[in-house]
Amino acid sequence: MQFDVQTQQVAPTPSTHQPKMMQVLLVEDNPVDARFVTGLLKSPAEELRCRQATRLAEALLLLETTRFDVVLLDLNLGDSTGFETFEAIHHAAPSAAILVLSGSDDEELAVRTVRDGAQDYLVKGSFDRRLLLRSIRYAYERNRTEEALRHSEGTVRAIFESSLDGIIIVNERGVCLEANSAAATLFGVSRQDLGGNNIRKFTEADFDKEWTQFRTMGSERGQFWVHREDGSRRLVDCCFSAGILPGQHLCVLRDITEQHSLEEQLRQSQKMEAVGRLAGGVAHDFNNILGIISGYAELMQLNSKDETLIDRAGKILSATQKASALAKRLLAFGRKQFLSPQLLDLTVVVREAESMVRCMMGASTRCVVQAGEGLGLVKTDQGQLEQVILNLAANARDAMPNGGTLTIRVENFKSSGGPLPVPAGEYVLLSVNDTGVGMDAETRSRMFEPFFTTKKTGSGLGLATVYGVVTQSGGTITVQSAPNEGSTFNIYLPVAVGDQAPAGPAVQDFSALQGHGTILLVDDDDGPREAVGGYLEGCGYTVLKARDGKEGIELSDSCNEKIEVVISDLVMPKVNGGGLLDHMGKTRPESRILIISGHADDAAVGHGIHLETTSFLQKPFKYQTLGAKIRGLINRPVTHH
Amino acid sequence: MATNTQSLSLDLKSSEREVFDPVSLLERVSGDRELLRELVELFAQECPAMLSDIESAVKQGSSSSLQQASHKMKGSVLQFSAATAATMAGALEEMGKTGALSGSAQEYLRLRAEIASLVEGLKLMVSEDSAQ
Repeated sequence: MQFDVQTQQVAPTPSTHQPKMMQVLLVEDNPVDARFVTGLLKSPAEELRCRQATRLAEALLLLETTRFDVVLLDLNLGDSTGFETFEAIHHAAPSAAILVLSGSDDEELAVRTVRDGAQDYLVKGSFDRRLLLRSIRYAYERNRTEEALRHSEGTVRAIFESSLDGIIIVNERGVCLEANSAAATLFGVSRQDLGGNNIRKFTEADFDKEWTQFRTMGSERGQFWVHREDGSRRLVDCCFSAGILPGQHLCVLRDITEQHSLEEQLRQSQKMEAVGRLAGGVAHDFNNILGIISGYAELMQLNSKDETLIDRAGKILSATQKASALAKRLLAFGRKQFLSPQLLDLTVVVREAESMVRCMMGASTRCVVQAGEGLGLVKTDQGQLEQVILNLAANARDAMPNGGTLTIRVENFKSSGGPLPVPAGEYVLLSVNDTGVGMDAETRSRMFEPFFTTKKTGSGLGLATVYGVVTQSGGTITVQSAPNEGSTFNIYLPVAVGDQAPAGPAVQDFSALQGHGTILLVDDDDGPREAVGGYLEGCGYTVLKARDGKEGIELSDSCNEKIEVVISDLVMPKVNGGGLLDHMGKTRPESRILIISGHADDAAVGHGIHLETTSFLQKPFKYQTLGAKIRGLINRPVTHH
Repeated sequence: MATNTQSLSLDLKSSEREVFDPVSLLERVSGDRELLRELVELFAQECPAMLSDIESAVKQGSSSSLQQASHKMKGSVLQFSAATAATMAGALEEMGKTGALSGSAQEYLRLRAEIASLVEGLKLMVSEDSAQ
């Protein structure tokens, strides 16, 4: 063997602050020099284990199997000389601290090895024991620090590269010095294109305000808009960290465009909900008042012999009908309208509405209706849906004063959820598109509000009604529109599964409104109660009038006659409609029930009342309708309970 | 120990020329005379082969061998604080490096004589040491 690997343990006293035995490899082919070094390494203060190799090949072999902390390296060996020796060792042991021991005081070589990773370069004859040990110790510590730094840098780099948030480092002027790929994606450019450019190139004016706040006020959080080359915009939530290095600032950027848009949608729907409640409430009270007015007008018409009075009463009635229609639209918006949902094929509905739409549009506008076969059935009110189509068509016409194209299309639509406007499921999509003037963001944000209009003569209820009908049918409406780019309304109605069409409305018989028998009338509103009572008495019925459910129960219990019909409001103090009907079901199962309310079926369901077994009349109603309803009920076998 | 070093250096200064610096040598090994003796013995044992390598390189006119062998000798004599020998070995190394070998044989002879004096001086130093 040409070389001798020695293993020496040279530390009799274990040191408390050196918990780890330092592993040193000496690579030296001159036995005198090698012994010189191993002799110097003998020190009670250092705990190290030194192994020796005399050739490069032997050293590389050792490095394959053993981890060394420090390599003391003579560059000129039998099988390798100069810088190449260093390179080979450094490559084989990248984490070891390398100290070059050289016979040449070669400044150039020294600089080169140190620059490429050697910890020190010592010239033979220039070091004594103290200096050698100190150099080894320093090299070891320095290398460990560098190793920790490399590790930390590696970790930070991995976080930087793999972060889903964009991370950029900018200078004082906002020029991007470094960016990760998430930032490049956010800005819609390559990393190369982002680097060296001022971030203002990719942001809108609001960035400057945030930047100023950040630089002057020390603000750490801000939002601004990014505009991309493809024309799209992204809203960015930014977290700033000033001065991470002199003159360098860190910005962590998160794309919150989707979140922002969802928040906007939520705000919009909450606003509509609130406005809807208000509108519904107003319409409900308004209906009650209309009921009284029309009731007395009808009484006047029936009882008066004076032709002028009868004529005037007729005018009042016709005005109340118009007012009632208005209130009905408000109720539709407020989702408090009584709908008669049926299983419908939208193709049929659209075809039926088509002729009216064509009449409405006039000659200068082209109408395209695309309604295919095989659509899924949806459950909604046909009349209301036709109204939706007509309202949208009317808006389209007004948006195209100089003509254009109106396209109405119905098709099946399958949503997989996610970014789509509707949850996953099967839908029928009804879309109404025009090539008209379009809407700006302000108009778009308010268009469904009742009484909001951009037309001189508009009621502001058209789109509000559309919104109400669609949402009450369990559907979703979305709008795409921009100034001069037309508008498209998309209505998604869920496909009804395993549902049967509800029974059609009862045929009304107006022929014989006169009758007899006892009717219990319960309504907390004095006006309607007296008016309705008066009318029914005029028809020949005996009317027991109660102000609330409790009084109704007392009257019923003390009455010895058969009560043919119980007419009751839903929302009342003390005992409400539900409680009263419960009692009647137990004590007088033979009595027929008629609910009168300003609210729609959802309100009735909320009171625990089955509409299938109970008749319902929405306020305001014409007394003739009431009379016919009561006749119908008395002639019908009792179905409830 | 300080007294020993001083008396030794004074003794050696009495010779005409200082072949090596005993003070700095002893300092380098932190006064470890045992180690020094071992190193001197090792050097005395190894240097004929080292000289022979240089000699054959000179004879064969092999620049690279001359550079390498002289470099090795230079490293060793530097450890013994033998400045003159190191300069001579350095000159031979430079000749090998540049390939200008004229005068190398003469330079080798001078180095050989210097090394002989060095070995003698070193042996004297460690023997005086052990005598004390």
